[in-house]
Amino acid sequence: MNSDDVIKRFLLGELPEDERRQVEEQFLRDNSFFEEILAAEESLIDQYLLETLDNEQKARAQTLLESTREQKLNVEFTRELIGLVRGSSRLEHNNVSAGLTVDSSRLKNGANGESRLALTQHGPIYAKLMNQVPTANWIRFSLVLLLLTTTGWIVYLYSKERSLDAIRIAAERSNNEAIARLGQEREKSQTLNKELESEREQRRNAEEALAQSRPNQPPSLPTVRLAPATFVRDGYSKVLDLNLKTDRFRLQLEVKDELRHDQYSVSITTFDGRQIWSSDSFKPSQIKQGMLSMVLPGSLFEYDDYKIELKGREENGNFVHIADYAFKVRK
Amino acid sequence: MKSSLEQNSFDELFSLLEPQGLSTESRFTLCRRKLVKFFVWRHCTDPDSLADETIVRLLKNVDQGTKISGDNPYSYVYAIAIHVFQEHTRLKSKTTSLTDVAELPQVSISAAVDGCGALCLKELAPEKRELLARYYLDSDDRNDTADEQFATINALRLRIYRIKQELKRCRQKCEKRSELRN
Repeated sequence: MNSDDVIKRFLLGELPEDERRQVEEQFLRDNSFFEEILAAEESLIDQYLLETLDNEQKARAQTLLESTREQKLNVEFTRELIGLVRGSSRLEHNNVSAGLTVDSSRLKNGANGESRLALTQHGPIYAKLMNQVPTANWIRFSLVLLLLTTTGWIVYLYSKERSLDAIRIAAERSNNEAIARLGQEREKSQTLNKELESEREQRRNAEEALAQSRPNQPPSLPTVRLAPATFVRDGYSKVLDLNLKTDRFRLQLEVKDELRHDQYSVSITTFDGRQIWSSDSFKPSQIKQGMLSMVLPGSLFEYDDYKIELKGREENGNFVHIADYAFKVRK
Repeated sequence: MKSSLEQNSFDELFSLLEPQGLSTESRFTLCRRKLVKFFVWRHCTDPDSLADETIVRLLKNVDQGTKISGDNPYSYVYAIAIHVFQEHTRLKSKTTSLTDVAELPQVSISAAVDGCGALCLKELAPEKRELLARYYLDSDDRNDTADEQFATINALRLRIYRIKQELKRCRQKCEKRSELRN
């Protein structure tokens, strides 16, 4: 028979008188043994409350545990303690603070399986029970923390989205402004090109007019003087050697039919019919000493053979053929 | 107040009964507690009075010159306690108890302590609270709990008992504070 069993039987009054006296004398002189019996008595209270004793043991335990006011208080204390420990999960669900009222039927259920249920089905709750009294506050704190975190995250996402929208709008605005500026620059460029071309044309006309007004002066530009020709390919056409540096040259056409028409036109084409240049705005006054002069850009001409047709406008408005000219360009 | 002779007898008696290192008051308290439990476990209805009666007789005998010596000084105390118990039993059989224990008023701890139990549990060291919860939540597997604690089941019960004692002391203080406030 082990010590544990002896102590339990001693407490329940099941020991014979001689064995009982041995136990009593031992706990009086041995404080450790005395404390062991006290612990066993507490365990017996647990078993009594949790109803793990058989009927006879329960009756004996009741006699012992309800014999004095102190014993009753001790039982109530343990009942309260078990209720606090086991009831904490229920209290949390009901959101009430930990009270001291103990439901004895709950304790009965606990003995038959609720405690195991709590452990098997509510494993995480077990951890909460370890700290059962501050748990409600802890859960409130966790919920508040979770709420704050969620709110903060939503605010962060919202502000970030707002920020991205602002950046996108700014980028679109900047892009539109850039496109507008580009359009303006393009228009300016086109205007400048037109102005430049106009100035070039004016300069060309001025140079042409100057050249025609001073036919006897030594030409400052390379000059090609052409006489009317009868076309024989590779015959006597003048060869014009255009230097790469020659951006303009003067062309002088001999005109024998002077002043018979009120307006003249000149058309330069290649021999295969591709028109290079033309003008129908020559006035009779521009024919000086039997020469119609014009300044042409060198860039118009490539390595090729060219022919020029001179026409004069009749009174009926139609231009009629006057003469042909031919020349070659060999760059 | 005890006379100097009585005081000397008192000190000498409890220095014999209880281990060195404790104050005389602690020795007396411990001895009295064991006697109270002696009568409790014999299902006496008023164990405190019987324990006090035992101590009074013990001190009287020592004061009258009875020498307590030997390896087991408690054997003399035990003899007196048994005698007091037998007197009590005889007296109880002849008289009707004025107070039926079964009719003692139920003490509503809930009302009395007003949250002291929960408060004291909260103030308990976390590892003790954890052990307590494990002990009561896993009541069918206390051997496993003991194994996890590297202890025998008796050692585990002892730890639980000490934790509960700590809680009781805390609650008593708490209740006193509550009473003072009220």
